[in-house]
Amino acid sequence: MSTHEAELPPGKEAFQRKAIRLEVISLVYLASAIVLLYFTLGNSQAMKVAWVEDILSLIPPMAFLISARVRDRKSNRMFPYGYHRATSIAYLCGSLALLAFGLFLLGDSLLKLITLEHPSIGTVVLFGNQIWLGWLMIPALLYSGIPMVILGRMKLPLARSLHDKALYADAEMMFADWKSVIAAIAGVIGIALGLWWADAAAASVISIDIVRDGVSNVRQVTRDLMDHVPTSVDHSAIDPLPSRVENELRGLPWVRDARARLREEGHVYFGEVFVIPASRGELLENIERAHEKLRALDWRLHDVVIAPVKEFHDELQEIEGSSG
Amino acid sequence: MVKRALVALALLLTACDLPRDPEHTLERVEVAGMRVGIAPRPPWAIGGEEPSGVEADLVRAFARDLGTDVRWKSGSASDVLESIELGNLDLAIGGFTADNPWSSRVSFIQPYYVLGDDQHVMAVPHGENAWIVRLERFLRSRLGQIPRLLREHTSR
Repeated sequence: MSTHEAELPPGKEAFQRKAIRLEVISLVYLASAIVLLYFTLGNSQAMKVAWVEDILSLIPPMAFLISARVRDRKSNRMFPYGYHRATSIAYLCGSLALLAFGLFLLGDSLLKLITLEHPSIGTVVLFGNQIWLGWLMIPALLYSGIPMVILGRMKLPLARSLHDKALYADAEMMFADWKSVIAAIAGVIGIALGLWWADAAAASVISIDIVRDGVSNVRQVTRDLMDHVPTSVDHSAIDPLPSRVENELRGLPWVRDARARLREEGHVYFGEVFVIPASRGELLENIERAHEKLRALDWRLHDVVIAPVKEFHDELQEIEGSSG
Repeated sequence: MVKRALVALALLLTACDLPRDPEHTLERVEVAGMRVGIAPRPPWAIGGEEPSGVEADLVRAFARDLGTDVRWKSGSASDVLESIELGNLDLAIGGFTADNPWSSRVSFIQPYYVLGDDQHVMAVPHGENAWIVRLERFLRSRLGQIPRLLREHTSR
């Protein structure tokens, strides 16, 4: 039983190339937004948090691009299962960074509220005009936010068809950036209206959003690393593939019953299918053919072992909800 | 085109009296006079019954511009800066530069004049943004007069 050499079927290669291109565009774009925001930070806490959020947004595209290079490496003696988990590890690191920075920024913003810190924002000279820096923050925030939403939106369907959870999390985070932009703009307008607390309050709201992203990503990637039963990319539903595998095999005349146990490694599935044969004639040939059938069933069935057994272990219970 | 639109928008927004002060410093100064702390440091701030120096002259001109008058309070740099922090003064001068370690406790305006490595600033309470904008605009309008003021007060 050999491992597939190519990770993606031919039809999906184009999606992958498009995803890589979008991630490169995201990185270049984010870099420009980070520079622009840096020059308009002033003393606004909301701007600072939005700025750090943009810096953190660099992590998922970088993780995606790095893992796209690493995960295609062939399995070898030292890494007999290949490098697929590279994606999950990159995703875990990014999620932890998100969580840690989110908590830090939340504490920092709340401290500013508690200590009644009044943000001072002065003027800058732009094209010979002396302008209150606050007015420049708003276009800078819009510049950083609007294309992020569009890029996030474009990546969502790609993540679905590539079954790539890291890409999905990235797309979702970028798409959700509009909330931060609106909160930060509200903070700046609040300062303009003489409401000193508006800025730190907006910063707290954005920080909470970063923390929430961090928590949900850490939880999801931990589940994946714990070999949680495969789910859809948005984690909303259990993937019906294991029961499809079981049904496929149960349909074969030489199979009395089958139980599949699959896990996700990156965007592909590994696992075992235990089969109780009805007849043992030509068992090896039958298994070989069944194996080919499974490969044809779904491209994500990357490396599945079919094992004939007399009876199932107790722990091989039918997976709850997998019948859908 | 975009540049012009941005500048026009910013000027328009400024015209509707924004930003405002959380503690209404600008409005109060216009009605009740300006409380200014002065920490002597020639030629920028020279103490005495009637203070002089580059910054004292600028502050007096600023008060004239606002149609109000100045009440001086002389003290050491830490005295006047502490009064700013507590909100007992509206403005402090004393040849302060942007690298001043008090910047977490009081707000230093954008440098209004650069001489060698020194970026000269004045101190105001945190977050009084209308006040800060008004002061920074005034000082920029007087930028051309500063070398002359400096010569006058240095030669004396």
